[in-house]
Amino acid sequence: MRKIYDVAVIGSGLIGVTAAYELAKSGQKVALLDAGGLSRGASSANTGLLLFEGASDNTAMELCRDSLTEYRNLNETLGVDTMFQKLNLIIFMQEEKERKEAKALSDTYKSHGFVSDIIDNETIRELEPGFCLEKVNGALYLEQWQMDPMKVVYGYFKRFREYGGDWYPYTPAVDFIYEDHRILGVKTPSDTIYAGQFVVAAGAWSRELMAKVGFDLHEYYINGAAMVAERGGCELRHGVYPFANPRIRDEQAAGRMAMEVGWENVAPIDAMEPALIPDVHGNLLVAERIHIGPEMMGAMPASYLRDMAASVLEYFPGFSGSRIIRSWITPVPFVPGGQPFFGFVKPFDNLFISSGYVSVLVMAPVLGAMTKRMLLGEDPGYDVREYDPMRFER
Amino acid sequence: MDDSTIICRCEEVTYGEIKKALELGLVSPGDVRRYTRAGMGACQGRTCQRVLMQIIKKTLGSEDIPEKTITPRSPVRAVTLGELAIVAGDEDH
Repeated sequence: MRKIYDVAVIGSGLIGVTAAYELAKSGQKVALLDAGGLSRGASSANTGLLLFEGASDNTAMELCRDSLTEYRNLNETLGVDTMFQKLNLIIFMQEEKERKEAKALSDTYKSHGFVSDIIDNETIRELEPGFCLEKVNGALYLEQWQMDPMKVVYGYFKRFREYGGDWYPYTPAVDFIYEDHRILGVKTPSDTIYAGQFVVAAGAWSRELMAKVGFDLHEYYINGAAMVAERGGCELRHGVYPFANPRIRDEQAAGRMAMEVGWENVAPIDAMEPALIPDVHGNLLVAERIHIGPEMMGAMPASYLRDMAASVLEYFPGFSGSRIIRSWITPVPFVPGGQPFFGFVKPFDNLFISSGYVSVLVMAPVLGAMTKRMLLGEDPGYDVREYDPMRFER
Repeated sequence: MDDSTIICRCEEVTYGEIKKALELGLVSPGDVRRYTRAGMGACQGRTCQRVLMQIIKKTLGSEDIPEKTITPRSPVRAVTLGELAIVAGDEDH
């Protein structure tokens, strides 16, 4: 059967569902496709932090700030309880040389109107008495918020359906049908879905998808593993993680290597990021063990649980009796240079990509509206020139 | 059983919430679990999983469920951080 839409959105993570919702709300006929169920990647496997710490440029900072305003009213907009609440962070330093950069970041947050400061070990001890500070040398204190990321995805998805959007779960995009400058349709195992415009929002799978139209997208992924401790087992009032983030350093190294020798030839990198984040349901999320490389891991090696447990107990030995009830491992996308892809992909005039954000939850509401404006031929409202998907082609 | 009947005791998820999720188009037990939180609590679904599967099968018909079970996640039963870390120490020797 021939199915015709104004827009087909491929990928039902935060980027896909927010874009699909905005487009359906504005009267567009929208198809939302996912190779699996609803939001199977990083959008539903994360700590739910509205993390603007990863905002590395001015546009990102503006997107974070404006999305935060949206988030305050999101329960009403979506008709679900997203459990939006404050969670302040203690981003601890280990070496004196980190202090200068931390101070600069703290000043940036303050200039955007957020509460932030550099605090000493004595203050950390008052805030988190269980924190073993042997290897700690002060911290960047930062006001942040969090929510249940799955409720956010679900809320947008629910509204998208209520606005008449069509949903195709377990429907992989097998291939595209295209001419010189236009994508005509996307082939699925049972159908072809035709549309006027196409949005690729497939996160870690975007690269694989873009290869089907002959585009070498420089978006790669890490495998991020984390575990969940039982409610009430670990008392922690702040999110805690190190300022020197091995993940960002290592994924950028892997990204440079991929640009030189090809992603398939990148030698894997293993890293630990000992982050402890209490979630909105009262569980403690212990993140994360990281494996960077072309292998997409479906299951977590048992040694990862041990690595994560050992790294937590180094900083919080009092948590040794807390019980772990669940774990996850998921591919998390990244782009060399740390900036996402947001824009039309040449030579096509109807293929749009939005993918590769450092921490997308904090920007999702505004990104959905921006995508809608771009597809309707309007100004996105933000300076997105640095996010041009063609920037590596020049 | 009516809409207010609690299916998942740990997370207090009702039959009505599960029914709504299925109406919106969630089709797999894993999705229903993640977006309603049925089976996400302390017992990790050991109590409610069978009832949940019955509701999904009854509502959608067995043939239309793309995944028959929830993806298993380590650990199989709750394990303390201390126990996990000791195993790590053993492997080093």
